[in-house]
Amino acid sequence: MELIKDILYNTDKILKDFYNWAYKLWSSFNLPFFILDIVFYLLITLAVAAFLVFNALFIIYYDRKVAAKFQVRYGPNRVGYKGILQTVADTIKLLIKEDINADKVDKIVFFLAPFLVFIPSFLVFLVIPFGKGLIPADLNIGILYVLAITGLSVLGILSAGWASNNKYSLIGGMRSAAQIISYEIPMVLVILSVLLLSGSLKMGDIINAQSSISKWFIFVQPIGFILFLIAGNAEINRAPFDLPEAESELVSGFITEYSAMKFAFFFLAEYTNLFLTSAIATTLFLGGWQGPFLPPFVWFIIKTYLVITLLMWFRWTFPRIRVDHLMEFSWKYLTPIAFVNLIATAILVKFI
Amino acid sequence: MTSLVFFYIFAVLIVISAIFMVTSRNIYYSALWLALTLFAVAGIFVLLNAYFLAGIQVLIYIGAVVVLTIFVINLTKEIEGKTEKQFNKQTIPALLALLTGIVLVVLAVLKTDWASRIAGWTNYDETAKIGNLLLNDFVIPFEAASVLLLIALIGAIAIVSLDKENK
Repeated sequence: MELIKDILYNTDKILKDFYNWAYKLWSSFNLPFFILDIVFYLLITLAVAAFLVFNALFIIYYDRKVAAKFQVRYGPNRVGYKGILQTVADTIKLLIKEDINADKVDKIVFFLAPFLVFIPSFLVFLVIPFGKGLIPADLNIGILYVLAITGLSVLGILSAGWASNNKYSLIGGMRSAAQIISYEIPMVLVILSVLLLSGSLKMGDIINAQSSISKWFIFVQPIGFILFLIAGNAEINRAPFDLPEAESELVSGFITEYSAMKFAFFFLAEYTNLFLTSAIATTLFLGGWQGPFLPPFVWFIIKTYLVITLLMWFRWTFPRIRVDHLMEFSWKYLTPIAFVNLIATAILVKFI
Repeated sequence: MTSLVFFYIFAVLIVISAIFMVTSRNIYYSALWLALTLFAVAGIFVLLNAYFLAGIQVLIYIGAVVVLTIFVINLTKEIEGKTEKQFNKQTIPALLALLTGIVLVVLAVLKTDWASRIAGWTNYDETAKIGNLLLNDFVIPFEAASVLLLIALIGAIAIVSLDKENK
């Protein structure tokens, strides 16, 4: 009983004890220590990968159910209890489908692109604080690492669009790159204003700076939170900003030519990015894993899923905006507001 | 030991991908090789404990420069120049430029008093230090660089709008 409570509430201490115990055990065998370290890193990676896959499976089901609620229909309800296994069945279908390569595609880049999109979203999990001490590595440059790595996925999207050798795919890829670069600016400015308050790039320090509910940055930075949600939603190419794959104009954008496993990778990356954006919003604005009574991990998941629900609400409420409006919205409205927000925050931090 | 292994991995990666970048006939491949080169450079920065620099390297050079390069390549028609020559006859000027570069770098490395520069740099907040250096000690060059970028930005906008007026 005591142990279960400790595992839930003092995860950092338990992990440290476990590591020390393994270290002692290992030294009695007289083997080199780097093998033990590698084993630990592999375990962490496996845990994160398992979480990523199951989480994505659930989010897809959840998204479809939310969509169904908004459109007053049932949604998936055949496989398993209330259709909960629907996404599992879909995944198996995607895995065993034939992998079609169109004739005129650029073979190498066409093959690489899904990985270039997926690997960055996997790498970002390195600095996601799931709970007290439940962070794979609390880097000093935490949030900067997130920005740098998420920027890499544009490369994959552009490559997918170009390698498909298809005008719709190419336009989709180009739109996506333009969109991600444009919305990165307000996003970075908002993150900068949060950093002015926390005084550190480290995820742990950002969470510690929001130690009580009145100090949560959503109350100090309400405009920042809204801007972050809009820009974050645009960065992950979701409606109303899903122009890169606007099905009514571009068939399916940069993923038109992809099928089976490769398509599954794009899909997985999309929903993982949705989770990551919400997780980062939780960390930056909602106090991360902090909360009363429940274990930190549970709080983190609850808050993240609240943000995910909010983003899904956006998706099913707003119509897709036009491509020139999209650019105007970022450069003429979001960026100036973010700048004013940043300067106001700087003045507040300096003089109050 | 581990860092030495990783240093060699990254170093070999930089050299090989740089060679492929220059020799590849398809400019889209060149851009991807360039991305790999820059990523490996970021890896070297990490080995030197310069995490902030590594982050910025990936953010700016891959996230912005390579992406914009690819953006431009996507707009061009002839991506694979099968008729273009890969080499020209400027061997001697190229060698001279290369030699000057090598001599300058070696001289800079030899002339710098590393020990006194590194002293007092253990266990510091690197990001804060860089910020202090940029905005206190080197504020004039920093501002000069930003003015230069602003000029480039205004220049680009001016050229585009001139083009529109002429039509």
